[in-house]
Amino acid sequence: MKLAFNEKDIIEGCIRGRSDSQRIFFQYFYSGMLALCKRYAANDDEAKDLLQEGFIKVFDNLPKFRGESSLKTWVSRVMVNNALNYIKKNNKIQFVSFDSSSDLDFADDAEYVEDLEVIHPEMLIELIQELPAGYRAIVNLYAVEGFTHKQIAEALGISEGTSKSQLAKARIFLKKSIDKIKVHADARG
Amino acid sequence: MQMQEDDKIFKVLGDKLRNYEAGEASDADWEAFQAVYPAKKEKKRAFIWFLFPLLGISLSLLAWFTYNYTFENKKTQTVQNKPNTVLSTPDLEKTPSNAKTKPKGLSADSKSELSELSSNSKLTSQKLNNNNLLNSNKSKKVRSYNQKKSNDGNQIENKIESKLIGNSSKTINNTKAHLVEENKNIITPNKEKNDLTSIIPIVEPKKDLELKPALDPVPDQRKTEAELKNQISLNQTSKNQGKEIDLSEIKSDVKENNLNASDTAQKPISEKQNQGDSSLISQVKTKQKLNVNLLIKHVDLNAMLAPGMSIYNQSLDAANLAGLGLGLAFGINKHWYFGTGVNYMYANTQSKIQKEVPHEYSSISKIDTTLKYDFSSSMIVMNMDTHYQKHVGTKIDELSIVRKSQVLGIPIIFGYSIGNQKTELSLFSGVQNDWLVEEYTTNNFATKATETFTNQKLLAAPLVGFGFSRKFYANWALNLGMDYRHYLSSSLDKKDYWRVQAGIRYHLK
Repeated sequence: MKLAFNEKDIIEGCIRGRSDSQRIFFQYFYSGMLALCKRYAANDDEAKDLLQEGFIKVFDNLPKFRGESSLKTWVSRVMVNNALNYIKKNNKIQFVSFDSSSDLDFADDAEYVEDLEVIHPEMLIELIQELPAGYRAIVNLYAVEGFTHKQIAEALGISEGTSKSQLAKARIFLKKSIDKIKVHADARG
Repeated sequence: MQMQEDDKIFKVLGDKLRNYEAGEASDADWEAFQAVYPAKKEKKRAFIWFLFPLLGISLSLLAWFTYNYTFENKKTQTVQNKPNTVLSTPDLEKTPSNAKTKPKGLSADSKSELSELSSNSKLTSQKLNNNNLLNSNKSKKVRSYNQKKSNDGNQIENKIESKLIGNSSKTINNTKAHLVEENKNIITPNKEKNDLTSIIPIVEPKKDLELKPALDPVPDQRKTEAELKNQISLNQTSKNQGKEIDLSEIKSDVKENNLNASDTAQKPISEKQNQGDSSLISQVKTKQKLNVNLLIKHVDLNAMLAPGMSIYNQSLDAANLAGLGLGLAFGINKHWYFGTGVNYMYANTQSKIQKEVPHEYSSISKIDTTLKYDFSSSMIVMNMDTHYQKHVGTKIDELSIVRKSQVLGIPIIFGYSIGNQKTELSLFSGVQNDWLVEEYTTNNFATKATETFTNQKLLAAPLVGFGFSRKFYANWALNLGMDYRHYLSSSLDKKDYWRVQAGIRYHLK
């Protein structure tokens, strides 16, 4: 149950360390931030760990929030940074070299786009979780957060070329996963 | 976003996931998070606020001991100045004879103290007038000791102890013949004993007197007379030069000698001595009890009311807490006092708040059509549209919140009171340490969901106040007071409160 959220009062309460304000803040952003963490994590347990760490950073850094962006955007950014730090810290970024341009074929995208439209977001998250950590981070930054390859390269400490190649690889992975889902769905009738 | 035009897969993926929300936070999620983060902060704060009560308790103990110590000293002096009001018990009378029967217990310290006391002949002669009773009494103990020693053939010990005696009125360089002469007068009539005990006013517990291990009652015979002389003179010069004789100290010495005697000789304590000791202890205990009672100025039992107290009163009605308090005031002097106590307050309040929930926008197109049909002016349509959407776009959901507030407080105050025997006005200031607990139970009428959570804080607040009391029967008085406090915690919405209290007071002083 989400209680009424008065942003200014709640932020002030959280800065003062009031547990009731923190609780409301936590409940308010929990579901959105959990979905975000799930996208960056390999499984749900890891996602909850990321979420806890992320909220700690949010509360610790809340006095620095100046209101230049919306609170949700700011909280999301803190969570994303936390997730990226976690991935980098645990050396989870392992990229596979990309040596073929033939895979960059967008011709059949329309078919996959239609499939994606009908797949439930929770299942999409599961598809992303199945990706290797490096692909996962790049897909999230590129597709969901809207980063450019240059920004991704800076955020992950890689080259732009690597970012592009890994994204292409991830795209192939996703297509294959969607195919599997389709086959599975067809088999069930 | 520099996503390629034809890279629609990621575009769709991003759109679908960007605003997706995965489930709501459960109590377990919050508790798990709280266990990691806020608990640490609250513990830190709790520790800080815990220091205030600790400081208060330390101050009160310090005040109590300081006052008690001063009071004890005053009492001792008073009694010493009034020898006729003395407690002369048979137990005390027996004390010297105990010393006589157990001379081995004379430790080195006791001996030196005796010699020190004796050396101060000036004061001795002033206090005991002509007969030098005190010295004689001490001589008795030592003489009996000497007698026993001489029986055992300990000639050197006898000499030294005799010199101890002789030192009370003469110098160490007395001749052996003189010592022998003095030893002949060892056996003194019991009258002297009785006189001494009648002079000794009261047995004061010598708290700071260290019970040092007694020396071997049989001094090392290998020591030369010169060495022992030197030891005696060192004891005399280093410890108690110019000290006045304290009668209570002498008695303590006597008592200590008895104890040492029993310890050293490893003999069972005689029944008489037991009686004497227990009597002394009971006297001391009685006196201490008297002192404690006298310290308390008055005891208060109050009913109290604190309007508007709350940890979290944002958008909720403040709780008006009511409760009971028990207080003690310790008189420092006629006007100043130190007060502490404990109070408990409670409130149970119920509030209703409204909650806004995003509503489905499925009927917006219909709304527009309706509005356009009804109003010809586009400006009006636009205004109405906005208004209508606002109204329709939210759903009012009512919550009830039941809040139980409890405060357990310990005030620590210093006050100044003026008045006469009947009425008294006091002004005070100090610190209030509160443990504030609030339990919220929310009940959502729409979803029927009930949730409970608790907040608790340790808080400290400086306070000032005044009180008025009027006696109505014997030591009983009615009192009325008010105080104003400012909580130091930044986590409170409201930090300033006042509290009124009324009750009865019992005066002990």
